[in-house]
Amino acid sequence: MNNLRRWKGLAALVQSAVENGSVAIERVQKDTANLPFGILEKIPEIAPAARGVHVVHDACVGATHGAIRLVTRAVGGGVAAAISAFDDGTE
Amino acid sequence: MGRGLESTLAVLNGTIGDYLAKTANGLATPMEIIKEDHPVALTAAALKAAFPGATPRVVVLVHGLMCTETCWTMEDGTDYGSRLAKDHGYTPLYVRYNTGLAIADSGAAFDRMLDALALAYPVPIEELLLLGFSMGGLVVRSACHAASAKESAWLPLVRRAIYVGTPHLGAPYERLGRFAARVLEVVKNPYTQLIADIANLRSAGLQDLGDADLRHEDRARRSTVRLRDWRHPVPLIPAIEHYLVAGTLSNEPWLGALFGDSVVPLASATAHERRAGDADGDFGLPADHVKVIPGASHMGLARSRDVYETIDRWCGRTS
Repeated sequence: MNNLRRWKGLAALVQSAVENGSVAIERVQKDTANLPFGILEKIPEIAPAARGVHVVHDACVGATHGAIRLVTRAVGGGVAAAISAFDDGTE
Repeated sequence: MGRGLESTLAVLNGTIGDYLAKTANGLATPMEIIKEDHPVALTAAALKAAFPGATPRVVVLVHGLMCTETCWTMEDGTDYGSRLAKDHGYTPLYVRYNTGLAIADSGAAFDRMLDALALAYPVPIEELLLLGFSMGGLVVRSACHAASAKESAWLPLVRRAIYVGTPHLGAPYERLGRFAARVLEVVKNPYTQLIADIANLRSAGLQDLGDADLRHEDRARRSTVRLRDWRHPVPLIPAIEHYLVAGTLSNEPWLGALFGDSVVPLASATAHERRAGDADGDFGLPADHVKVIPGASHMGLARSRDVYETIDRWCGRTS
């Protein structure tokens, strides 16, 4: 029982680490990209195109990390359910 | 395997234990009395079964940050608890707890634990000896403060409290880490901010060590960017005899004074530091209540023959 509780805790911790890590890295990637895009967007000739690429870039980064978090949540939920089912079966 | 796992969990709890507790994670360590690697429930039946030879003198050992009760074990398999049992008839009780919780929370939990213990212990307790190592000493002080405010039944049973390597005036490494994290936060760069975010994940217990914050309200004063807060508003309980053990890695006095036991400076472990016009940094204990062990590392203080000899003497044995 104690071990299963800990396995469940480990699964939750890994899930939380991946989700929060993904949020942090997404922020870093977007903030880092803001610098060159900011410069490009100040050049009148290419500003509209740069703004468009910036939006697409941020959407891609957001979608990628969103997918990572979604899959992590699904796998984490599945693992927790499996541990609970095993726990019920052993009681 | 079992002890290795518990030690790993102790490190994890010390690092992010407050988060684990807040999210009701199964990896969070509850505060428990441990006997031979197993928790003992604080019920009369469980305590009677676990301690069939329970004596009226009880010593409660409280470990430090990221440790378990195994931190007390000496090379020959004995520890301060078992030696006090042999030499003075104490029944040793080893506490295991989540060192990542705020010290005030651990102190409150310890207060509740001792309340339950005093009620359920197999024989009436005549004397409680509290022995805290490093953070454990601050947890003892926090519990005594909480017990004093609510007049807990166990507090009058405490005649002595012994603090081994306890940072009564705070730990400089934590303050340095806090300062570095603040500097990184201020720099407007995504990478430094990420590092600051990671650094700020460290547990409440760890952060409390910086200025030895025993109460939640003590933590609130931490708003400045100063490396040091000189105020230590929680006094020692006057009805208890307090004893302090400090270590110095080096036998050279000036090196010892500078680096202490490598983790806790000498001034902090002996609570002896004054600034002009400020008496708060000194407990005013008699000189023979403070012992400095030369050549002792921080972790070594928890399992040192020299430290035990001092504890032995303080507990009344002269031979």
